[in-house]
Amino acid sequence: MAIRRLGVFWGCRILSGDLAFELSTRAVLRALGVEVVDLGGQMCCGEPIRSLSIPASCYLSMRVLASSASEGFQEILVPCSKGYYMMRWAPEILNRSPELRKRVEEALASEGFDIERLARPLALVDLLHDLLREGAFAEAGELGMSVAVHPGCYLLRAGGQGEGMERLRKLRDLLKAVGVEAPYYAGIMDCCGGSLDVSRMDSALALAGSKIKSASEAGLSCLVVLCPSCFEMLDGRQEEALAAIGGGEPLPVLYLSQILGLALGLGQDELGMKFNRSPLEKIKT
Amino acid sequence: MSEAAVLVIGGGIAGIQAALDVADQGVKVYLLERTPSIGGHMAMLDKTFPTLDCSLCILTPKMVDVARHPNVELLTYCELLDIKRADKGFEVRVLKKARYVDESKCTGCGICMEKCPVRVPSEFDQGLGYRKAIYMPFPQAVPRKATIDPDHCLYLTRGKCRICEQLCPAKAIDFKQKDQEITLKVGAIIVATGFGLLGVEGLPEYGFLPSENVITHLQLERMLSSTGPTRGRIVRPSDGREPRSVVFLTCVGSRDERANPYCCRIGCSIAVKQALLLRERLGPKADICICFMDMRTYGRGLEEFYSRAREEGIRFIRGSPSDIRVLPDGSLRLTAFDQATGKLLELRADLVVLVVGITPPEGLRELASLLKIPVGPDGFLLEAHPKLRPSETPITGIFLAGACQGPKDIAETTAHASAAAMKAASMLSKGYMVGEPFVAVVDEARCRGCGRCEEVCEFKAVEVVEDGGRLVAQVNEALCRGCGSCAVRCPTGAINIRNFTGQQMLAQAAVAAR
Amino acid sequence: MRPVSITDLMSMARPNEELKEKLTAFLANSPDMCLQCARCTSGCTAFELLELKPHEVVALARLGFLEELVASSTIWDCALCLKCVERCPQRIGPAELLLALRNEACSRGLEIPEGFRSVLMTLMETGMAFPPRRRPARDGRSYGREEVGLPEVRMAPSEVALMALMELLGGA
Repeated sequence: MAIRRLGVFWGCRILSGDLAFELSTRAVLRALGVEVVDLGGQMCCGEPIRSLSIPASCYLSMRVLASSASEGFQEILVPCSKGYYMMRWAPEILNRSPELRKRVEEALASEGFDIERLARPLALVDLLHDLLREGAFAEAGELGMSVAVHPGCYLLRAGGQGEGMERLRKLRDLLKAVGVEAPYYAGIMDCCGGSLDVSRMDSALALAGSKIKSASEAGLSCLVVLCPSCFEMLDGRQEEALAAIGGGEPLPVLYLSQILGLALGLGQDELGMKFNRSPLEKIKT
Repeated sequence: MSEAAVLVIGGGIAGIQAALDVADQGVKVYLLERTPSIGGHMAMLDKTFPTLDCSLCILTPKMVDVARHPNVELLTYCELLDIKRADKGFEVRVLKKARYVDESKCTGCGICMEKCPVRVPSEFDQGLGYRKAIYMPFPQAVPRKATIDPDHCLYLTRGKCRICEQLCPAKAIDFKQKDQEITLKVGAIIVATGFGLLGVEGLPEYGFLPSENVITHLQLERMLSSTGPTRGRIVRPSDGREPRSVVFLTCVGSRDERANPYCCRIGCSIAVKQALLLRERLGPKADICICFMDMRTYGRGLEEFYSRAREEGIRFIRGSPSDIRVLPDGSLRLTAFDQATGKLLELRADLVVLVVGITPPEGLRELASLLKIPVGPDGFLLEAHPKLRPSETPITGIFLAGACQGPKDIAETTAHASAAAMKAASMLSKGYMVGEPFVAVVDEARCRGCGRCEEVCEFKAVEVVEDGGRLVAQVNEALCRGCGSCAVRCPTGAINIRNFTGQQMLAQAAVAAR
Repeated sequence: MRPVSITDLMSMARPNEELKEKLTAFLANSPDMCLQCARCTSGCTAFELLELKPHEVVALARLGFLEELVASSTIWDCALCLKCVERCPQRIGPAELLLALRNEACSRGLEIPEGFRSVLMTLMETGMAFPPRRRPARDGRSYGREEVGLPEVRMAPSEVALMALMELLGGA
């Protein structure tokens, strides 16, 4: 099993207190022989302010990539789905607008960063799948579950065409490797409402509620998510979400890293499972 | 050109038509087809639009004609290996693949196929049905000879079985048969390699849709066909029951920057045709719906065809669905925004038919490289002039017939193929050709025979020869395409394109820059 | 700029070509290329919320009728699920146009959902869009990162970056 050392940009959704995500992801990476180097001194990737200013948000993402490169990182892990999306979107926006590109170049240069020297972003599911192919999960247990996988809009749409479906395939492969079936269900590609929470919280909750309902209607007893924004809606606000659609069966919600961690024999506490608000006791293995 | 023979590459309707027309001129034709039978996509169709003629009924007489024509040599189950310029034409090397069946003895009786224990998904039936390891692709195959698939035959892969050999009344099975190489000399080549279909895995909205009830239009066509996998019964592949509602999605991967930016030309007509055929098979109570962006049914009789569909109660919804879900009972749920009413409609379908885009056929780029003919930005072969010379390529002696030059319906294909045949035969019968004057010209006084021009010429049009005791470059004007590579390379300025000398071009540039 | 010869007889509005050029600068493809296939609307997550459907927004942008969009509340109803961006066969993607419209509303000082302002303020003050908060656990207590043994990871606003950010934000 290769030992990797990776710079990680967590981003503010995770660092502001998504303990379930951070604990479980760190634990799983440790167990798989990946040493993470936290990139400090960073700022938000800009995703939350896209609606206010596309230029400002792209600048912030480019800054993450440029500042990481200047610290010597050729590649950085971006475990947050929205953060990773931004790291791929921002350079694309700059390609479309040479004028914006110039402004960002100047802004970066004023801090001593070089727009031509950028770290390459790495998605968590891509890293985990590489580790799977290298045999890192060979000793993992078989959980024997059937779950509703929720890839999330930003995992599905980061990067170019075809990348999303490829990542969904990798996600299902990872789950399969630990004995977890992630079958198709009608709502699999549905949005959880996570990006609508600021402007229309009630509608966002209705979307989250519908998502949970589509999982239980398909007879699936657990939701597996990757994105902190999705987790917030489907786990953190599950009660409100179900209320928004007039009631429904509550479902346990786990992070991908939590379910993989369980299969690798890590403990519930280590995986931050006390921070999941959804009814984990309903998990059937 | 003294080699009076033509090679037609591809045995679909385009190749068949071109071969017949050339052969009728008294010129010998080699008709090359890589599958075991000629017929192409047209043989897969049930009916053709807008006349609703039975496709095989109009095709098979031509298939038999071409097979029996005294001037045509049918080379089926053959691959093209290499093409070279030789003498005044081309030397073509062909691989005649082993069928493991002696064609001179096989009567096409079919006993071997009945008894063969191996079932393989049928390519002809687009995966909906099965064939055996020893097979004929379809009942009307020409030549009517069995072929053994070496990748699936138990004997050829594992040394077992040999039932076909035991049972064949004509003793035609020959497991010792080997692939053969044949060399042909021809004066002209007609490319008639047809088209392929777009695979939808690259489009995210179809990327994870595990349902057997979402099929392509060609799969539906096989179901409609009375000699197809369901003998003409329209069923849901998942449970074999007749669908009560069918939704067609047009423009799947066509006019789409993510897949084929171009229009597939025939998709709208295909949807209308298949909808009318379904109305006939399923009766008046079936709900048949076509969701479209635009309805492009132009050409003679096609507007009337569209009207007929509306008269038959086929629903037309201007609005393309992008959200398709598989429900637990196997039916499909689509949402389509109907622009006419402004309503978001939920469509529940037992069967969804994707009218997928037309693509260049597999291997076209490699063939184009081999022939040194250009390929357009859409991936189809490029004609010499889109309006005035659609059946010719910029390369002397190579012509285009059918969909390999761009999506076409059958009427356009036969017209195009006949044109290509006429151009090829006419070139051969004249004994000379008329070409562009913008070819390379050698100023022998300046030429020192270094051979650099010969090195860079893609078309083998210039050769260094001994003439009057010195080495000098000589241009074959028939082969020269006037590309100018030699003129660029020549260290002494001895070779130039007529009317495009360096001096002339600089003078033009000087005027333009004024 | 093209001369304008169109008037909307319902509102007597005229197209604004300048605004159209400004707001479509970040799109992968111009709204002029829209074929009105309506795939965006057919699969839109927020369909029921939207007064103006995505394909209509693009059609309005194509004609240059953007003023009415900037001031409308409908632009804040988009769920930003990006399905329309993924599925648009002309690579236009209404959601990105809606983001540009939101940017414009913001820079004009129009009424925008409160949550966005507080996100921006937190970002300017701390470098993070969301303030650190304690997380409630199943045992009834709340925990901060340090208490569960997570290492300190400093996110910090750099002066220079903030200045650049202010400049890029324009009037926001």
